[in-house]
Amino acid sequence: MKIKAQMGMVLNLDKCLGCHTCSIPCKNAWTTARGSEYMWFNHVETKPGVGYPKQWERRDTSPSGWELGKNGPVLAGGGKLGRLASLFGNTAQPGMEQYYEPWTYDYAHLAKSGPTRHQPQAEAVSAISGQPMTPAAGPNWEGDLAGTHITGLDDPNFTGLQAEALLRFERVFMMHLPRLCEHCLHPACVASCPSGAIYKRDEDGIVLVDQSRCRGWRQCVGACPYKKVYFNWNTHRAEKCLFCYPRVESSQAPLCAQSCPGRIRYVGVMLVDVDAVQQAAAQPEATDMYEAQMKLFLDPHDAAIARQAERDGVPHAWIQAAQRSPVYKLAVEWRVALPLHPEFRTLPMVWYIPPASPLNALAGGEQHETEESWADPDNMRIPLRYLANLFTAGDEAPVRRALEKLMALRRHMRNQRLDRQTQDPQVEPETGLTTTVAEDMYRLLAVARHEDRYVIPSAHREEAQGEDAEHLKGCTGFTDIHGGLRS
Amino acid sequence: MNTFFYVIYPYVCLSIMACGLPLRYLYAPGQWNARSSQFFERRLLLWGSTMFHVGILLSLGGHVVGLLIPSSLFAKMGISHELHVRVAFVAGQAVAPLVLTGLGLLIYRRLCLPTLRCTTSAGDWLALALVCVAALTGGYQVFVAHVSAFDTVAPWVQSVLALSPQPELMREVPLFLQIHVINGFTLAAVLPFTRLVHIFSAPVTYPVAAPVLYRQRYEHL
Repeated sequence: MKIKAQMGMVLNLDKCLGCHTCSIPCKNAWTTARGSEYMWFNHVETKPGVGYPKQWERRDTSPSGWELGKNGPVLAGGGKLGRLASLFGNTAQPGMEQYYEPWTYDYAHLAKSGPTRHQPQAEAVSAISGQPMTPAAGPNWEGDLAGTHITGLDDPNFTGLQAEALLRFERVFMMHLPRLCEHCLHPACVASCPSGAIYKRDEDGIVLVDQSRCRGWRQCVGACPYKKVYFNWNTHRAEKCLFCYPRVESSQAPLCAQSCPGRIRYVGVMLVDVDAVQQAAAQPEATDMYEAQMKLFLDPHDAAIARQAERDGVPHAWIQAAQRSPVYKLAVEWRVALPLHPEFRTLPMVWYIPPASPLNALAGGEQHETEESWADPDNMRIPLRYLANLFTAGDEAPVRRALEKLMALRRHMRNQRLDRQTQDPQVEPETGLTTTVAEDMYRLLAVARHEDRYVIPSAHREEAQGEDAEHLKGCTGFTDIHGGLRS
Repeated sequence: MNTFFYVIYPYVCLSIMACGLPLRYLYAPGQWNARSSQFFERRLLLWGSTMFHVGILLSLGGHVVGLLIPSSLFAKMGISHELHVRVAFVAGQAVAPLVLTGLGLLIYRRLCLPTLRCTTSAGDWLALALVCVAALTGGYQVFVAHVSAFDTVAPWVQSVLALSPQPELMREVPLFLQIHVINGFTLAAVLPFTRLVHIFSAPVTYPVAAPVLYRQRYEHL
């Protein structure tokens, strides 16, 4: 066993209202330069729909992620030799038409225009060529059900469901899905990079692109099943979400998490057995991937695990942070957070609490919300199977369990608030919700103070290899006339 | 004139390449890549680029075999001069269409797509022009001219590499072939400063790399 620390994030979709505030500081900080206008390291999709880039979940037309080979997981869409063979023409890279052509507006015209009968207009112009264009797609083109009756038919999460019926006005449902790089434990982008430019950081598991080593082969762009590595057409290199590592290193939450007005995001450390990763990614059934990944997360409260982690080089403060990790609580202890598309076999590290939805009031209007029925996951407007296709490779049981627990918590809090005496002292043990768990869950999901949501230990730069912190002290900031660091 | 182009010029070009490559690698490593334009257009590129690259790699191999191996060695192996010339032309005729068609497709898409045209740098145009001259003069040689270069260009190239250039060998060479040769050395000189550097980034270590690469935060590579 070899233990490494891994940053993880949980998003509570039950509270996401699709305001896109998370995308804005991310965009402003990382992707405004020429060549990256079309990139969204964080964006919010409305489901159902084809998303951004279009059809990112479809693996039949563009193979990505991993599939099960004879001796373990192999990259879908070509192993190493296949990738070298496609070096001259990368068949897996999505073209600009699958994202959108970035545009701006000719604002200067408003000032330069002479006297005219009508108000001058700022025409849309391409951010690439500067030519006038008609915007025809964007990162959230089908947001809030705009055109979903058409695009939704191509949503692969309708597998096993009647997409056409469910997209009719009376039955239609929607949910918001903010997406960022999953910083996977078994990343396909890293494995696909011919130059060895993408790597996973030893200390915190953040996946980064070394810009000075990237040769622009673009294999990562196609290999990532979440399509969260982008190709910068100006610098001709790959760029992706950095998990805001300069902030995380100093214990600050990533910008998307920090800015969320709904406080839906949780950031924390997990202790992971990295020696077992390959084996976990090789489950015979895709539906086993969720449980297999759960086994990789080690209990930080276990003294033996903590000792082993310390021996493997995890700093003490990080082990303590892992013990307080909201991600560990939500994903492992309470099992209310689930991974996004575990069948991609990349073992993603951004997890989601499935959204509860109103009772499905269809067929004659005979159903009324009762104390029992309003909490039934099988009766909710968002089909359980749809959520299962998103989060557990189609296995409904874990989603049902998570939703039942969340609804039990609501019942419990409702009883408390209404000061009812009917309340069971053991709360609802059949859902796993005991008194203490209910208390803790309520605090984390509803009260959610900043320091409880983001348990991020600072990086230990003084322990970095190849660096003498004492020597570097006072050496950053100003450069001497030769451009080098003062020393 | 002969002395300049066939004694001085090759060494100037090769020196620029030899110094330029490490300098660029050290001072602008981030710019070192293939400058792919597949993001804007993929269908023509998949055909054009694959054809061009396969063709150009084969023709590079042909040049190495034809120019650097002395004729005497072929004679010793029992390959007659005529056979050698025949094989060279047949191989050239097989490869040249790949290069020319591929290059044609690549130029077409670069000229006709506005997004592509406006993201093409001066260096890209220069590299493209030089490659075009090389391909066209090469195509002219294998399809039309059929000038044997084994008694002229080949020994001259060998003499250059042996550091005792013999410019008199190039005196009888027709103009188009002289252009091909001079253009070739010019390509070597501009190579470090254009997208052509990606030739030296062929990911040869990839097949033996670990499936998941871990790196420490301040690991200096």
